[in-house]
This record gives sequence, C-alpha cells and structure tokens, in this order.
Amino acid sequence: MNDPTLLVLTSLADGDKHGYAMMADILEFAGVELGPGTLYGAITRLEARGLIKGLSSPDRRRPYRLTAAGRAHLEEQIAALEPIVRNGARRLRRA
Amino acid sequence: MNRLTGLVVRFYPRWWRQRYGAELQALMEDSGETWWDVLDLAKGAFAMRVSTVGNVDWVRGAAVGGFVSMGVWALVFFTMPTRFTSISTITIQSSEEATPSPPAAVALGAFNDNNLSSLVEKHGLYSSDRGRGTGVLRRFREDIAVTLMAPDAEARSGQVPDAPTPEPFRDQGRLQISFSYPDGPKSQAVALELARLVIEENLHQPPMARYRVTGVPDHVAADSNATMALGWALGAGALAALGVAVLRGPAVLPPVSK
Repeated sequence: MNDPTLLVLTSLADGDKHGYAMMADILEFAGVELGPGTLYGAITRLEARGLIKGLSSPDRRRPYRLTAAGRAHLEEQIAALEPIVRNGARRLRRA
Repeated sequence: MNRLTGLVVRFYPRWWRQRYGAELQALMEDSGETWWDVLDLAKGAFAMRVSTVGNVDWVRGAAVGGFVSMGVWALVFFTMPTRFTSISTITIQSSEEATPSPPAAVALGAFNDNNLSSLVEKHGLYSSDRGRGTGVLRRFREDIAVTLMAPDAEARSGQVPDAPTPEPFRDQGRLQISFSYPDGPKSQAVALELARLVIEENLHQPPMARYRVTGVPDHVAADSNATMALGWALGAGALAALGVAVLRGPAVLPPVSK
C-alpha cells in the first residue's frame, strides 16, 4: 500500500499537482511522508511509462497530470487491492 | 539547496538532472532539507543509476563487497587492542623579524628523557614495560605524534623525529600533539601535558627564535581506533544494506495491461 508510484497516481487522480503539492497531499491522505528521492524516482518511472506527463510551467514547479493510461492503470491497481481490503476487513471483524 | 544536497544530486545521471534538477531544487526549497532527505536522495540516485544501466551486477558486487568489508572491519574491531588517541592543539605564530626554530626542534627539546620520565612516573604509564630501561621511553615517543597544520602548506606530521627538520615555520598555524594510549583519560591528560611541555620549551628559546603562542591547548578528545574500525564496519554494512534495498526494491513498474 506504500508503493510510491501508486501514491503518486492516486494523488494526481483529482487534479494536476507539482512535486511539493504531491508530497503534502500524500502525507494528508495516506499519512506517508515521501522523501524527495523517492518521490522523483516514482515520477521518473511513471513518466517513462506514459502514465503521467509533465506540463509546461512558467516557473520551476512543473505540474504533472494523469494520462488516460495512468488512469486505467490506477483503476486496475485499485481493483486488485479491493478484494484484499474487503476480505481483510471482514476477517478481522470475525476474529 | 545546500552543498551536501547539491553533491548528492550530482550522483544522478546527467539526463535526469537536466530533466528534473530544477524542479527538485524548487521542491527542496519549499519543503526544507533534512538529513533524511539527503539520505533519500542518495538512495534515489543509486536506484536511478541502476535502472539506467539496466544491469544489477555491480550493485550485487557492492552489496557483497559491503558485507565482506563489514566482516573484516568487525573482525578488526573485536581483535585489535583498544587505544585512544588524544590531540592537543596549540595555535602558534612567528613574527616577520623572528627566525624561530622549527617546531619539530622545539618538540624534540620538550620531549627529552627527563620530561618524559616524569610523565611516566606521574601517570603510571607503561607499567607492564617498566624495568626495561630505555624501552619505555622509546615506546612513549612512538606513541607521540607532532603535526604542524600550516595554512599555507600541507600538514607535516610524524612521530617525534630524531633530528629536527631544517625548515622553520612562518606565519600562523596550529601545532597538534597527539598521544595514543590504551587508557582514554590518561591519553587526554598526557596530551595536555605534552602541549604544556612544548609551550615551556618554546619559552626557553632565545627571544628571536621563539614562537608566539596565540592559543592555549584545547580540543583534547580521546578517540578509540577500535571505535573507528566499528565506524568503518557500520559504513560498509550501510553500503551492503543499500545495495540489498535497491536490489529488492521496485526498480520498475509492473507491466501495464493493454
């Protein structure tokens, strides 16, 4: 659940963000504080796979946007996680 | 971005720095920099190098080398006798007109047999070597090192010489007198006393051959060489762990289904 690429995709699901905004957003919704090396490692890999794209920006704070392929990939990952979350919660309630 | 962070960022591949360097700098300015950020960047640079090369053999090599090195240093740590090295520093200066004696000559005069014997008695040094005549003083001298840290020259260091070097010292500099001994508090106390002897010997020089002592002995700290070996072992272990972390970490995304 702490896969930084999944966290970045989730962060971009509700709109474009630059690096610092992503860090703050991920800390807020997941409680995970990504370091700059981890964040930009994830951004590099996601951009190389065409799952996000960097937008042009007048200053150095370049925003990123989820691509259609990125959205599909995120949906797929969430769909794969859902049964784990659902079953885990149900089994914990039973125990 | 501070100098250390800038240095770490230079380990990223050039193409990466050209593409992401400016925005990373902006991010660091916005978020502030901590030691964890620097370590995280170092790990990220390492991972980026690996994924760029596409060949993890050298990472495996670093991990294995780190483990082997860690083992060797750990062995050194557990087998070497613990010795503490204390360094006492004096700030000295010579005036334009003076022709002072070389610092080594001053030290040579200060560390004469009488003075060293007094210190041996006072601090109970080398008790296991007593009764061997001059052997104790020879060992004592082997454990002393005098280093001249001149601002305009490289550090000249070594054990107490048999004969002074011909060069006098000009300008301002720091004279470091270190003493290594198995007992930390004794090594500290003796290092301070050795510095005091050098200062006294300097006062006995003719006025034109005298240094001005502009700083009293300070920064006496006892550092164990066994502790240093432990530091190397931990460093090598960190390298090994970094290699393993990169090898086990997700270097690439899982394939995107069509």
